[in-house]
Amino acid sequence: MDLKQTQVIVTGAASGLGRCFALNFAQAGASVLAFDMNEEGLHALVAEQPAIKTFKGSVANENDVKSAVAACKGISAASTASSTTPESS
Amino acid sequence: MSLEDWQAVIDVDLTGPFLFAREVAAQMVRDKVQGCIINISSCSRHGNRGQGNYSAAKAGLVADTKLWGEELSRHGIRVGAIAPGFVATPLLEGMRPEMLDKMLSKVPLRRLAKPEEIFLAAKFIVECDYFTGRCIDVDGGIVM
Repeated sequence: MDLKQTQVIVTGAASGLGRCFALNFAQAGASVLAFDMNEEGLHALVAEQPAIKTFKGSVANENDVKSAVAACKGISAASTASSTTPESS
Repeated sequence: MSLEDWQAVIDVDLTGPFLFAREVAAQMVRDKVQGCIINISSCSRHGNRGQGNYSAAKAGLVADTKLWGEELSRHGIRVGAIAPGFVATPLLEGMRPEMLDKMLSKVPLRRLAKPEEIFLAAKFIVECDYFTGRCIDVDGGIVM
């Protein structure tokens, strides 16, 4: 698959790994829908890369997920970056 | 661990990816679009003390990556997983230095991963049309 012709949904996109994925997918030429509950983080993401579209919602809410996917016609990739980071044992 | 703590992590880290994979796959099939799904697992999937909820969710994601890869291949949909180790995100960077040193002592490469190094695995999964059903460990060689 060619990243340039890819429409990607990235979850957990307001911070951490998800944010990195959203920015790098966009930089590689993919169309990106950034999904997160953190609206402030999503705004900061768009401020850095205006081409990124956003959707505020919870991954655990079935209606939010359905609405986000429906808003992203022609989707060809999805990355479920987690908002949780492993801690030390 | 309280049931509430268990459920909160299972909801976000296992139910969330399931819901997204289901909806995205259904839409790809409807639209006749080939694509891929990337699940973010973790080195903690092998079992990290104090993280029974997180470890279970991340192990479950790798099992489902294999399963969904098999189930969705006939629709031209590939499924891959990435299991990062300790990544330099704001959460870990705010950790006390002695805690961070203790953590890194278990990592053969002796440093945190840069987020961009984890993205390289995602890029590979998208671009390599012969990859499905497997998990890529990008963890500096750590053994949990």
